[in-house]
Amino acid sequence: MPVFSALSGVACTELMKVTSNAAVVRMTAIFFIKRTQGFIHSFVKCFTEKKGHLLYTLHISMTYFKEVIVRVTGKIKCMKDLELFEALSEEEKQTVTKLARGLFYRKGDPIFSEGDPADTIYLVRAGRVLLYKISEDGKEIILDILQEDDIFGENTIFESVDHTMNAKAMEDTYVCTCAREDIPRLLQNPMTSLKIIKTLADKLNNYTEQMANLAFRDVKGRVMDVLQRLARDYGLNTPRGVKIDILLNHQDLANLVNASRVMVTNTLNDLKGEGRIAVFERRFYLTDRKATKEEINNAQQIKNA
Amino acid sequence: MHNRLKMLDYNKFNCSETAIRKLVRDLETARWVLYEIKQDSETGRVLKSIILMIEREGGGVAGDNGIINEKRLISSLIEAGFDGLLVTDAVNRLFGKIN
Repeated sequence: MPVFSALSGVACTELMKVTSNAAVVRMTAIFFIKRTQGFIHSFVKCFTEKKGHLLYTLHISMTYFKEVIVRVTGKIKCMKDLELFEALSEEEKQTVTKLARGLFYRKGDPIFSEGDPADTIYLVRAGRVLLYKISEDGKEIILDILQEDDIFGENTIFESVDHTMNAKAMEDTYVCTCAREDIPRLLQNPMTSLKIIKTLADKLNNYTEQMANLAFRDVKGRVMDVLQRLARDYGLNTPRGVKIDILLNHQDLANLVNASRVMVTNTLNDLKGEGRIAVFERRFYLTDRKATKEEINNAQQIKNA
Repeated sequence: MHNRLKMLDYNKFNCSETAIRKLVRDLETARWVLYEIKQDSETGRVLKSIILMIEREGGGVAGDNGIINEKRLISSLIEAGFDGLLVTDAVNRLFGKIN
């Protein structure tokens, strides 16, 4: 049963439970995706092989879904679907696909470490990646949180260098990789080059914004700024407010705003008291809708300019 | 015509390569600045002061054309009490003179 052996983690355990409870030896699984209110959900449906009775429908993460598809079909299609390559012709997309290698990382797995030789560029297909450095006193200094369509390891594009930071998967993550010697072929299409330039320039703007905030704003301003930035990237509109759909604890936030955890906890309590944020099921919500909308729009305008 | 187009493509590739190289270098520098400021090192404090000086006292360290005068910037930072060597290294790295 290649489909089941292709699954892992929670999805695998759940399926095995189904198999034993239902006392069936063979099953057929159908993997499908459904779009509801703009969100994509991935599922697996299991049927008895002989009679075709539906046994189970399981909601699985997109990362698992992609892993299964890749392993079952034996094909890696990670690169050609990326926004980065949408301007390519079908033929060019096939070429790009051949250059790519898909890799899976479980939550917490290191992707690379500082000092490792860098010879690969990474594109996040699903999941989230944390870029960080360890300070001289052993503190984890967060440099960036990456999501789908982000590029990292870009310092290897033209030169043979060592990684200057660490990268690890913040959640189950699927990345496409491309070896340095193949990168010039990716850059042959001017539209792809322009998209890479835009992605890198956006990232640089984001860092500049962070630098200015660190220099000019107090902790409260920095906390609000980080939450607004995260809302821009990971925000979902809900009746409760803008939900920041990323798991962050107070220490993570403290690392992002460069303040102590105690200070950040006190600041968050102040902001909750002022009705500007709320926390529900371990997710932050920006509740001051008017201010949030204006600030996100302003940030978006600056970004577009 | 075909050759002209090929040349145009080649130029585009060359331009994008130059732009990407510059961006990759700037990103590395930006991450270094963020790291130093966040770990609150002496270099981080120098870099924070540079940001403040450029933003608040732009006239003091910038020439008439708006371009930062590195020598003037270094002098101002040393006058503010920072170590000369540290300041020179930070300014040189920030302005892309060393990697």
